Formats: sequence, C-alpha cells, structure tokens
Amino acid sequence: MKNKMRKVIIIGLCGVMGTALLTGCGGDDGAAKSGSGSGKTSKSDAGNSGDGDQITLKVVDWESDEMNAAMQDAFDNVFTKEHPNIKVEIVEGSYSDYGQQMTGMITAGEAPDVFQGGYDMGASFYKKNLLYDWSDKAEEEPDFVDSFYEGTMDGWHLDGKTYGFPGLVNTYGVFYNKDLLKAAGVGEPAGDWTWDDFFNMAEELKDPSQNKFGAYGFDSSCFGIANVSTSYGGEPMMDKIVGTSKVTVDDEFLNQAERVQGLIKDGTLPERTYETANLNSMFEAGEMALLYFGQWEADTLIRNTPDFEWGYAPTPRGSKEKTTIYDTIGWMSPKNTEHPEETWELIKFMSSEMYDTVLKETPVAPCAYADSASVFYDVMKEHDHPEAADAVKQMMETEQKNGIRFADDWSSDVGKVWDPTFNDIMDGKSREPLTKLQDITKKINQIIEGS
Amino acid sequence: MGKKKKQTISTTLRYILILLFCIPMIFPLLWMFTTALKDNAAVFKVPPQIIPKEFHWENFTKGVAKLNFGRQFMISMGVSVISCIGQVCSCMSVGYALARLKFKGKKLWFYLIIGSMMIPGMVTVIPVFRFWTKIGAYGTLWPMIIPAFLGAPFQTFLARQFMTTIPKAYDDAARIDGANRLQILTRIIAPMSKPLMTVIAIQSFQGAWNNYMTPLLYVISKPEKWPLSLGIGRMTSSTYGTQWNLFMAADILYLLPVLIIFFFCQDYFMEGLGSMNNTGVK
Amino acid sequence: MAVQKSIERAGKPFWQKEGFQAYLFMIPTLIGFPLLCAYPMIYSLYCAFCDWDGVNSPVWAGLKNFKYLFTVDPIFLKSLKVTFLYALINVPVTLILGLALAVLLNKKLSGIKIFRVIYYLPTIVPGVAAIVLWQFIFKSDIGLLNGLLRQLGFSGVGWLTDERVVLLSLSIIKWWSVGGMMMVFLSGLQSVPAELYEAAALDGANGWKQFRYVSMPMITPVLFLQLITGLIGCMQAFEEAQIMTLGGPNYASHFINYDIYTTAFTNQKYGRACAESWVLFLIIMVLTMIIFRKSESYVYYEND
Repeated sequence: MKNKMRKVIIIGLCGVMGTALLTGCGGDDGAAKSGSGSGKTSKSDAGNSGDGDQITLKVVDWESDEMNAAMQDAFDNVFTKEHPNIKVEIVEGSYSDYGQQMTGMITAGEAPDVFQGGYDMGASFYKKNLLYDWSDKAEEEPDFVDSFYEGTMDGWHLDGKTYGFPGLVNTYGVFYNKDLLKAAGVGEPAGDWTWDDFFNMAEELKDPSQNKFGAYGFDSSCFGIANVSTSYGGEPMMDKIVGTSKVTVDDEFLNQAERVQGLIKDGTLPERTYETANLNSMFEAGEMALLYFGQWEADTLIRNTPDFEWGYAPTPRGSKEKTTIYDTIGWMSPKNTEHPEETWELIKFMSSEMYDTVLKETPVAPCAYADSASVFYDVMKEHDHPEAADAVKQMMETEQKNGIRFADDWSSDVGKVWDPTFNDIMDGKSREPLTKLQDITKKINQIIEGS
Repeated sequence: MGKKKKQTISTTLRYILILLFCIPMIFPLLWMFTTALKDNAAVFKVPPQIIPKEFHWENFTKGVAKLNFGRQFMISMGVSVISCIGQVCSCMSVGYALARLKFKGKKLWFYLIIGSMMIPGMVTVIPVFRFWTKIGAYGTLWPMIIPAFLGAPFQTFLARQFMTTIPKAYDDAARIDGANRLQILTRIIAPMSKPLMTVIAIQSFQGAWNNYMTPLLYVISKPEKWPLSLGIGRMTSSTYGTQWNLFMAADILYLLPVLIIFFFCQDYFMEGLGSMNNTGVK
Repeated sequence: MAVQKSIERAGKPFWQKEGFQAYLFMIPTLIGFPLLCAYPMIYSLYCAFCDWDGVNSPVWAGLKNFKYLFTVDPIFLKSLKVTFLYALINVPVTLILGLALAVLLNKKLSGIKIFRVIYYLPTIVPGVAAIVLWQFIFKSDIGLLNGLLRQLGFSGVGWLTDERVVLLSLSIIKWWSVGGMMMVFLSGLQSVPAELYEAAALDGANGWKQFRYVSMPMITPVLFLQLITGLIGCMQAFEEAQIMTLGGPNYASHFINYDIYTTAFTNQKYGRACAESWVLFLIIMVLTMIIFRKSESYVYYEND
C-alpha cells in the first residue's frame, strides 16, 4: 500500500516536472539569447537598429497594476500615435528590493530604457556612472525644463549635469478622520494651521489608557525635525538637497527636537522605534484620527473606502514661514541606452503629458510638470475632496523645501552614526542632553569630508 | 504504590506535558488560518479578533488571483523536483566515493566538504552572482537548478555516514557476480539507502521550494519566471500596502505541498534521520 | 585479499582503476567546490581589500575597509555582539528543549505519531511565511500576543519595538521550530540498543540515572552535530532581520549577516561587505575548531 502510493506520487511528480521543464526551458532559451548580448542593453527585440524601423523601449517602475495599466494605455494610445515607430513596454518592478533589482539589471546588461527612481537613487546611480547624461538635450530644450514646478528639478542635477527628470512629487500632509475628530470635540485642520495647532490637537486626541497616540506617522526623524525647525527660522540641515557637503544642527533644531521629545514622553506621539508599516491600513480601519502621511494614500482611500469621511490638510506652518518636504520620483535612463533619440522623446512624454491621462485613473500624486499637475487637483475635487486639492497645491507652491533623506553615498554610514543616539535621546532612553547631537554632527561632517 | 499505578500517573503526566507543548506549536498556524478568513478591515482591529466574525472563504480564491499562482506553482514545483533529483543523485554519487572507494586526496576532499558548510552564504553570493551574470544566466532559473547537481555539503556528509554503515559484504558479493561500481551503487546501495534518500529528497525539495534569496537575485525582473516563494514574498511589499488576509490565504496554499509530501514520507524520513547517529567525523 | 588486489592492479586499463572511477563519482563536487566555493571565496578575499561598487571594477584600497569597520563604523561591532548574544541564547535553549521534547515523545504511546507530526509542523512552514506570521503576532497594536496580554489586564510588550525584547522575540520563533532538532534527537534516542538499558536496570539504575549514564553518552555524536549546525545557523541569522525587523529597533537585531547584505546590496559597498563576510567566516571557523577540540573529550563514537 505504502509502496504503491509512493509510486503514484513519483509518477505524478515526474509528470509535473516534465511540464514545468518545458515551460521553464522555453523561457530559458529566450533569456539565454538575450543574455548573450551582454554588456549592452540589447532590448530592441525586433533585431534591427532604429531609424524608422520598429523599436521597443522598456520601462520599469514600481507602481500598482492599475497605474501600470493606465500608463500602458497612455503609451499605446497617445505616445505611439505620435511616434508610430516606437512601442513601449512596461516591466514590473518590486518596491522593496527595487534598488537591488535595478543594479542587478544594469550590471547584467539588461537594463530597461527608462526606469523610475527617487531623486536620491538618481544621485547615487549618477555618481556610479550608471546613468545617461541628458544635459545636452536639456540645454537644447530649455522651455521643457522650465515647465517644471519651481524647485522640483533640484534633485535631478549635480555638478551641472542633468541625469533625470522629476515625474511625481510626494507631499506630506495630515489625513484626518472627520468622525473621530467630531466625537472628540476637536475641530478640523484649516489650510493655514500651525505646528502648535497640530500638536495641540494631538494632545487632546491621545488616549494612553487605550494605547492610542494623538497623531500617527509624524516624521520625527532629523529630516522631519529640520522641516519644523526651518519653519521657525532655523537653518536648513543640509546645505544642498543633493551633493550635500555640510550638515548643520543649530539651536532652533534642538529647540524643536526638545518639543517633540516632550510629546513622545507624554504619549502624544509614538516613539521613534514604533512600527511604521501598515499605518495607512490602520487609518482606513478607523483606528486613528490624525495621520501624517504622503498624499498617495488619497488614491487608495478613494478607491477602496469611498464612504469613509476623511480630509487632508497641508504640512502645518511655523511662526516664520511655510516649509515642506522635498521628495520627487522621476525617470532616468541607463548609460548604454541603445536609442537615445527615441528614449529622449519617451522621457519627455513620461515626465509630462502621460500624467494627463494616468492621474485621472490613479491620482497618486501631483506631477512636477506644471501644466499637467492640475489633473490631480481636478480628480480630488471630483471626488469631493477640494481640501486635498488645496492642501497639495499649497505644498507644491511652498518655496522652502527640505529633503526627505540624505541623497549621497555616505547616507547609510551617516545614518548608522546618527540614528541610534538620536533615537535613544528622543525616546528618553538616554541621559545625554540634546546638545550631544551637535557633537555627532561634527562626526558626520568628518565622514562626509572623508568620502 | 503499585507499579501499574505509578506507570499510569507518569503516562498521564507525559500526555499532559505533550498536549501543553502542542498549543504553542499549533496556535500560530491556527492564527494564520483565521487571519486568512477575515476581511481586510477586521485584520487591523484593535484588539485583534481571535475568531473572525465572518468567514470569508473566498479569500483563498482572491489570494490566488492576486498572483499568477498557477504558473508560479508549476515553476516552483518544477525547480524543486529537479533540485531534488539532482541532489539525490549527486550526493549519493559523491557519498559513495567517499564511503567506499580509495583514491588520492579522499580525506582532503572530505574535510573540504565539511569546511564548506561553515562558509557564510554572503561570502559567496556576490562573486557567484558576477559569474552567472557574465555567462548570461541572469534572468534565468539556471542559478537555482545547476547547483543542485553539484552536491550539497550537508547531504553529502549524511550520505557518506550512512553508507559506511552498510556492510561491505554486500559489495563483495556483487563484485563476485561481476557488477561494476556503478551497478553496485544503483542496484545494491541505493535500494538499501531508501531512508537516506528520503531525507535528502525532502530536505532538498523543501530547500528549493522555500528558496527566496536566489530567485530574488536572478529573476526578479522577469515576473513570468517567478517561483511561488518570490510571488508570495512580493505580496507583502507592494507600494500601497498589503492585504494580509489574502496573503495568509495564499501562504497556506503555498505551504500545503510540502506538508503533504512530508505526511506521506514520514516513516522513511524518521528512519533516515537515524543515520545521523553515526556522525563521527573520523 | 592482498593477492587479489595486486592481480587487480596489474594490467588493468586506467578507466577501470579504482582511483579513476572514484574521481568520476566525485565529479559533482569536483565541479561544484571550485565553482561555488573556492573561486568565490578567493575573489571575495581580494575584494575585501578593494573599493567596489558592484558595477565598475574593484579598486585596490589596502586595509581601508577593515580600518573603517573596526574604528569608524558604530554598527559593525554591535552586529557582532548582537549575533553572538542571539547564538548564546538560542543554541543552549534549543538543544535542551529539543532533547527534552524528544525524551517526552520517546514512548510507545497511542497517538504518539500524530504528536510528532504536530511538533515537526513548524519546521515545514517556509521561513518567510513563518516570519511574516510571527511579525503579525508580535505587532504592538494589532498583534495577537499583545491583544491577549491586554485582555488579561497586562499592558502590552514592545516585542519588536523594545531593544531589550526584540532578540527574545526572534528567539521565540527559533524555539517554535525546534521540532526539527527534536526529530533528530528522537531517532538518536531510539537507536540506543535496548540491551544497554536492560543492563543498567539490572544494576539498579532508575529512569533519570538511565538517561544520564546511558542515553546521554550514546547520543553525544548527534548532540555534537546539532551544536555545530545550530551555532553556524545562528551566526548566519538573516531572514528575521530582513523581513521582520529591518535590523531594528535601533540596530538591536542587526545581525552581522544582515549587515553584510545591506552593505552590499542596499548601500552598494561590496568591498566592505566582502571584508565583513571574511571576518564572519574566520570567527565561525575559530568557534568550530574550539568546539571540535573540546569534543574529543566527551563525544563517544561507537564504530571507532
């Protein structure tokens, strides 16, 4: 009995394996062929070399299936109509190991023609000599470059070279649950509310007996604190958003850090070590009233929970001015792209016109291209969220922007030096005074100089 | 106290302890199951519901639909079965040489094999990645398949240990009958090593089925070649948040094949583990 | 026998010689070892002394990486500490727990087979799935454990957010899958010849004494092997950090293997990563050799 069973299993497995082998092999052969053209990005599979002949360009991004479908639509119905000899294909990217995937693809010579990346990734790849230099093309068409929102191009050139173009802009405001606010007797945020308003609201909303904080998702890292501090007149922490050469931690920074430290202590804000994954899901489940988060959550809320009563307010302002976070996602090309002319057309399209149609379907973010940005605002208004449109517009137009992270080779080394001490001090686990942070800053600047 | 009474008390005590330890073993799996049945909002309720209010059996089909489950399943199955066969063949072959044959450098190779068990995976990952990329195997599943045929150190070690316990008399009898060495391996030693082969087979199948890192490095850019481990792992890292209930459902389906195989091969597996008793490294 | 051998040796074509045929059987390792083992090791040793961003060619940099790791980098030494601590907690606990459970299940009781499967079940769950599952259980707000604790009136514990607790939480996951080790010990116990127990009983030894003087010595080879594999496994802990804690909180679960991975693949400093992995390798080698040396005194080999 046992033996018979084993025989059946073995035969069954062999059958399965045989089928799988056939499917696997088929794919392998194809890959082996394209792999043999190593060293070049030989992605034009029609086998011929441009010039009016059909070529296919490949694009990689990490967007959702719905957004990729909308993009593919835009490619097929708008771009290819204008450029009949160019076909565009999207290859799915994975979000959490994206950097690794891209480096792997580029090293293996299988890089796509255009791929998505944060501005910090762009800077780092540029330093490694991996990107195509678009500076010449940018010079030839200054109107195109000027048509981006003020400041959004800052993260996309270094040493006078342009290595990519911003596509989407991420802004960080505060989502609020209207019902929960009403129940707690707290008013809704206004468009020009201040940090004091925000923190006071959070104080009233917290409930330690239920393990609930007042506000979730607030960026209490050095970047978040720097953003608050600059709105009170403090000096920006990084002298430049990319190509940072000096980090400054001044007294206003320490001032704001102390305030946040106090808020963590009395349970208004979560500790530095609080898990930040799934905050948006918890918000969607109605577990919190205030969530400091990126505007892309609006797209999820509209799609998945249309009956939910939510609102969105911009980054609060300080006593001196409005400031906000700089975080752009853009498009760049690998160094050895085979068809620079066609890729240039594609990159222009993807940084501008494409969003006209795509953002209507999946309004994840406003785009950096000023003319097309209104699409996002219109969609928000259509779905009864004019406050979100206004909030995002306000943040886009804010002039003082602070980077969301370090965008250099040394960023992780510096992080290792800064984070543990900073987190312990902020969480009240360390007896060191806040001024210790200034000592660490000296060390950081040494590392920066040494790299 | 009579001896029988003493026995029953100790037996009952034994049962109690066994059951006690069962709870933490099973509970997380039950939790997985109940999470798979919840709807997405219920997953994030504070405090967590232990028994879901509603039973969403359709999560299983929805979870499967989120990935290209069928295709990834076949790929995982194919790669795992091939790895299984490859490892059994290569480990038996090398184990046989180490256990039975005399040749120059035998001791050296044996120690090298053991030594290679100590190497942290990370040391070799990067140069090996470079190697596969240079010969054009990036984006294919070959980096997962070929190493299976090159012998796994631990399983080879097991094979060698096991074979040394088979009396040489069988070999000699076969030689007298005119068998060559290959025939001795396949006709005599292999049938006597069924438990050993079961252990190697199950462990290599499990290893290949659960392997996440290697496909992550090599086929991440070609979704049509993803094995199930990669597909499931990717579910938790989408840009816009995970649907945990669907993920748990898909995960349970991912577990099942390994579970079923283990069920059927239990006895042989246990017997094979017994070969670990002769683990003297002498 | 000797005569037979010399007759064999004389005048045989080389492809029938034992030595040659042995090498044929060894082909998998003959190819595999240099390809997947020797070459990568040597190449990574070279890269440990270079600056390498993974894309362009390595550039010789002397001892720069090692200097950085041991003097400037605050996390490298911490990761070694974390990994050691983790191994220190886990190796003894899993050995004892595995052995204890094996003893518990080592009786011909009805239904014992089912229990064996239940205990082995956690080992079958694929690593990634198990980790994600436990992550869910450990979450401070929506996790199962804190939910239960709060229902019983206790306050929740920061399983994954408290630096002092996180290693314990990760260890719990390891203890959960102790079934594998238990099975090995079980078959070890079951292969102890019954005569030995009978002899001991005749000499008046009770249960505990039988265990201490018969079972234990007989299974020392298994114990030894499990000790080594357990130690090597703990020193190479990785997935828990990569999937669940990302090395946090505050690098409290930043295993050395995880550090190597992030230095290489996230921060693209492959040269430094190679340096780190060689340091790890040397440490493991030294530890293993120490254990091997000590083992001569207490491990009993039957067929020596």
